[in-house]
Amino acid sequence: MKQIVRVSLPDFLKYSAMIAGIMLVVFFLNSGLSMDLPEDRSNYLIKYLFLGWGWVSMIVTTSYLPIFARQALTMGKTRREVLRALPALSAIAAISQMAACFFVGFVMRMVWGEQFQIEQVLGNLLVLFIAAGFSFALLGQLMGVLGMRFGAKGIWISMGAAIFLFLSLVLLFALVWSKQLLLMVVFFTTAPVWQIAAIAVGAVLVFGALIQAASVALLRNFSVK
Amino acid sequence: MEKVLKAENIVKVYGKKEVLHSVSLEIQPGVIYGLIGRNGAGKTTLLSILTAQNTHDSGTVTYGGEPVWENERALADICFSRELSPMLMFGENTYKVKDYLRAASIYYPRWDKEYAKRLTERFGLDMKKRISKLSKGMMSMVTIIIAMASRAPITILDEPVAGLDVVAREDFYKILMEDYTETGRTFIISTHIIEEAANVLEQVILVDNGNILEVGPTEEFVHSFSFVSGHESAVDALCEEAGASRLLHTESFGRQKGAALRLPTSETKQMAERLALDVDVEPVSLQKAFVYLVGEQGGEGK
Repeated sequence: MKQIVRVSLPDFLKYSAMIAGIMLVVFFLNSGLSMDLPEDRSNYLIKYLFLGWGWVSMIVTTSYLPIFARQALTMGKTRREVLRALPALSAIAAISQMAACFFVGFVMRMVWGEQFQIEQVLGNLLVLFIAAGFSFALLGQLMGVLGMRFGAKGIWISMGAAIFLFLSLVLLFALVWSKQLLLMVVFFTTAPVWQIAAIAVGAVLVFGALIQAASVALLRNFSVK
Repeated sequence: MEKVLKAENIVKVYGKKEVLHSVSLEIQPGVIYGLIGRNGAGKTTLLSILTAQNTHDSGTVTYGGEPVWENERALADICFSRELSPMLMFGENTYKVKDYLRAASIYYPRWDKEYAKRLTERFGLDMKKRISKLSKGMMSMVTIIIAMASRAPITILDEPVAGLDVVAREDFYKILMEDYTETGRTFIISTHIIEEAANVLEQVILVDNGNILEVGPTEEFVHSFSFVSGHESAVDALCEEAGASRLLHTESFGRQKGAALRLPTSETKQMAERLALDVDVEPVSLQKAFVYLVGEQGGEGK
């Protein structure tokens, strides 16, 4: 497992640095052109945190885990070793992405000082962002494994299924449980951080266990083409 | 104690098609094996099963008596250097030569960094070049470097000379022999360019349509064939004496005829003398022997 992590680490760091650079360039261009109010800047950060922590982590794990896994299997590693490394790689992808976003936030704070309302993304929202970062990286792991097993079509099918599931849940909440949804939102914005953190850690662990079980089922008898 | 890589009754099925039919094979330590067969004969499938990169439907693969499947100790002794792909799942393979060598240096426990560097310089490979930008021959060079520098006791190369020019191919065989003399490790080389490899292969494994037709010393194998040419009637008489089972191939040029026999040259000559037939008897090359043996059974593309 350590060897697979050693091989993959430079790639994860390289992509995180690249994403941070892109975020900063876009932010500076955008703020120079259109963002005058501190609220705009803070909203912008929230949007990009979601993008950077969530989607980018997912894209990185979806596209790179199959490469590292295949390479390790063709260079004498067992499926067991690869499967042990997968959650670690997903976590590293998410953490390096978060570190990059923290760096972006740090630079923004340095440039805009008090105008930049970093408080807006601290507390419960930050906890949810961190949980989302890990969850998206894990989802990327599953899609990458499906890609390894069934080729690119496996990724598209799983991505379609995930979007369908997400939209169905949103619709269900909106139509049937809108009151409960409102209560949930209120809870997540008002509850103490430790409570939200405990729920987030539990949810990520359960989700991670499910993803790992699916990965084991898919790769246990995997043949390298 | 040196370990034997052993496959027993391996069956592999893709969909409804059985591609390996109860294949058994023993790879002895310290031997250079040549795996030869037509396209689609099952060579790569067999090699990937021997190295636990592919599953099989029945049979066993062991190394030193232990199963190879999911065996970290066994796999640490085996290097199967496979063809690199210029494309990855989402597009071009943007990895550089140095990235592959770095990964190999981490994964192979006996990796020889200095040797890898020397070979890279010898082939004139640019370490910073992306895999997708390499020619077919350059990609083969990367797989050769990985295989040789892995210093694995069992080193397997799948089509190592594909795309290499004649100078680079000669260089590869030289490198192989130098390394073999120094380390005495086992090599399995799957190749289509048989004639050039014939001199370095100690044993041949002949695969055809998912079966192993022959395994044995290359010299013995080649010497078991002969080619007879002369007047049609004389050649026919000799073939009749040899028996239909030994006749592999015939070709006619007007009244002249040629025939390939599974009979050593010396025996064929003796037979011709005994029957007082005016024919020429010549030995055949490994490539010709291979073609006579499997050429008329038809192969299939992968």
